[in-house]
Amino acid sequence: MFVYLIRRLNLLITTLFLISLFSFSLGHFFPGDPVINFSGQQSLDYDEYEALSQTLGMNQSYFEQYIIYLRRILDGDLGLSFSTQTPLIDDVIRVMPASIELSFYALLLTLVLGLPLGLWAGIKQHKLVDKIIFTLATMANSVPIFWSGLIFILIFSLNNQIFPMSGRLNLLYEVPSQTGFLLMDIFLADMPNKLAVYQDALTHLVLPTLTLAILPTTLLIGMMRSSVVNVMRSPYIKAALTKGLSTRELISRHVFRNAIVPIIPQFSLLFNILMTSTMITEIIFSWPGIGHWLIEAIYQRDYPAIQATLLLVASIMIMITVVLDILHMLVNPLARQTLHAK
Amino acid sequence: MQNNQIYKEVQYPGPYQIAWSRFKSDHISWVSFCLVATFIFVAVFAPVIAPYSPYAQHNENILHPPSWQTAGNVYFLLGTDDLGRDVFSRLLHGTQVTFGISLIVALVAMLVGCALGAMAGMSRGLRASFFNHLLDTILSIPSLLLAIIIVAILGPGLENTIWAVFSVLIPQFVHRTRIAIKIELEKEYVTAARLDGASDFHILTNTILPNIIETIILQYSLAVSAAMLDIAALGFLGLGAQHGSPEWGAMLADSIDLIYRASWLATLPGITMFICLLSVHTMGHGIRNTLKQRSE
Repeated sequence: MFVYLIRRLNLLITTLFLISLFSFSLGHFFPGDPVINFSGQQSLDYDEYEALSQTLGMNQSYFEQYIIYLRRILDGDLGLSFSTQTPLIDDVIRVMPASIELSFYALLLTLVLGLPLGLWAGIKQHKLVDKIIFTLATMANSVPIFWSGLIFILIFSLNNQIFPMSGRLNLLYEVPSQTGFLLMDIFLADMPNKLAVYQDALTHLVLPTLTLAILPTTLLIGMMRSSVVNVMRSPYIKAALTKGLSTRELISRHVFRNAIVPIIPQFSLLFNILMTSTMITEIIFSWPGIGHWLIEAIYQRDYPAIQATLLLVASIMIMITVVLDILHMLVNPLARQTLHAK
Repeated sequence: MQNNQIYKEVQYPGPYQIAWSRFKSDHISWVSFCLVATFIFVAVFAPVIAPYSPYAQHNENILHPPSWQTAGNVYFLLGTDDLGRDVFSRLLHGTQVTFGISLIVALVAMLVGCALGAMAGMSRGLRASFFNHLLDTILSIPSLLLAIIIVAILGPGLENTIWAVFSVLIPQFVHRTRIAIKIELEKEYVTAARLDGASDFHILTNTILPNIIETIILQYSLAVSAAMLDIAALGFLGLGAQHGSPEWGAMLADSIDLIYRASWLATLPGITMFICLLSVHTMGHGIRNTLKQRSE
């Protein structure tokens, strides 16, 4: 176990090193002056430029520049945004919670829908239920997310005004931002009409969450189904059946637990899809999260912002992967065994 | 094999022929194959089939709904957009842009990626481990984000989008091929070939490659759909194909302003793309399944 942890840690550190190297090289790849790309300061006179170039080590070797860059990141200094000239780290802290909130609800919906449906389809393999669920999942998997978002808007907001089209909250309500997570902020805020605000926030959440959850849900159904099918073939299920367990007991005691363990490492794929979809969903629904912010940054050629987003998102992704791997190792004794055998 | 017919030549179907006939007998795979073939046909012959140029503006016929509606005009089968451009012609040309380019990009990426993956899979030691880490890094970045970054470096435009999608697809092929080769290398038949004195290259081309072809084909179908989604997504975000070009994603992006007045401009490109993606997916799975049965 200890060896495994060391190995994963090694992978984590190497990968983070490579990501930082990639992000560093972007500063030189992007069009324009590297000094400006790294610092983000645009209005510089000659002396300031010289001083900045000195602190960034631009006249030294790439290696030393990289060390300086690394030290700056670790201090939390990601440079300034081109368009607003404010520190990027503040911007990121401002927009990140909105994305996390949206992804969290979508992930929750994915788990609530995907796991039971996948389980059901896997148990009833080759029956009608399985065929229906599998066909629907395959079809939903092929719907491009930017189209489903538009169609949801067309049906639910324009044709029948059930849900609002964009944003997180009606402009009528003003909730002071404390944590950045809207539902939490409403809870903390001192307002007379809390229930109405909650209702408004929730109706704003419905469409983006649905749009975002479609793709991961179909993937999860596929994963869960094949895993359950594998488990159902194993001898211990037969043994449990001959012992006289009812279907419910069989599922809760043997099938579900054994089916969910092998797919834990695949969850990183789920997060990957979720991250990509979040960017597009945020654009469609004008959700003020990191994806929306990144696309705006690209429109305005805000290179420091693009660089910072890449660094952050990739680091988060690799951390999720490693954490899931370790979690898998902790809950799955079989994987531990194969590791020791090596 | 014994047979009593001396004069007639009897043909026994080879493994690929068996796989083909099995593929044909599966209805869903066969239908999706026909659909994909239709899309390829349209992609190649779009300029010949399309009734109008995708950029031709018919000023008297602006915002016609599809022809089956009462307000529709039969000369414009799927209606016209706000500049009087025929949606049907644009969709046909869009097939060429989105689907045709995806096919080619994925094919080239497959050739490059599989060659690199074979090299990585056959090598051992420090070089392999370095390669592994590098791949893990690239694969940890969501593909669309990476494509967006590359477009940000190169600048927006369809051509740069193609380069971005191409470089995003390669690592996935390398990864799949490498893993598949690693698994095959440990099997006994490869050891047998090695004991017979086969060189590494011979083992790779004659022994391993026929056995991992199904993995590569499945990955190719996934790559085609990923390329389509990425090209369309970048077009939709305004970073890929220019606004006004008949690329499906860009058409969707153009339709947003008119979505309430002219919903067919949003629904039709989406439905076309959906059918195309679905048939590519199912066909890939069908081919993989039959090839898998062949090896079993």
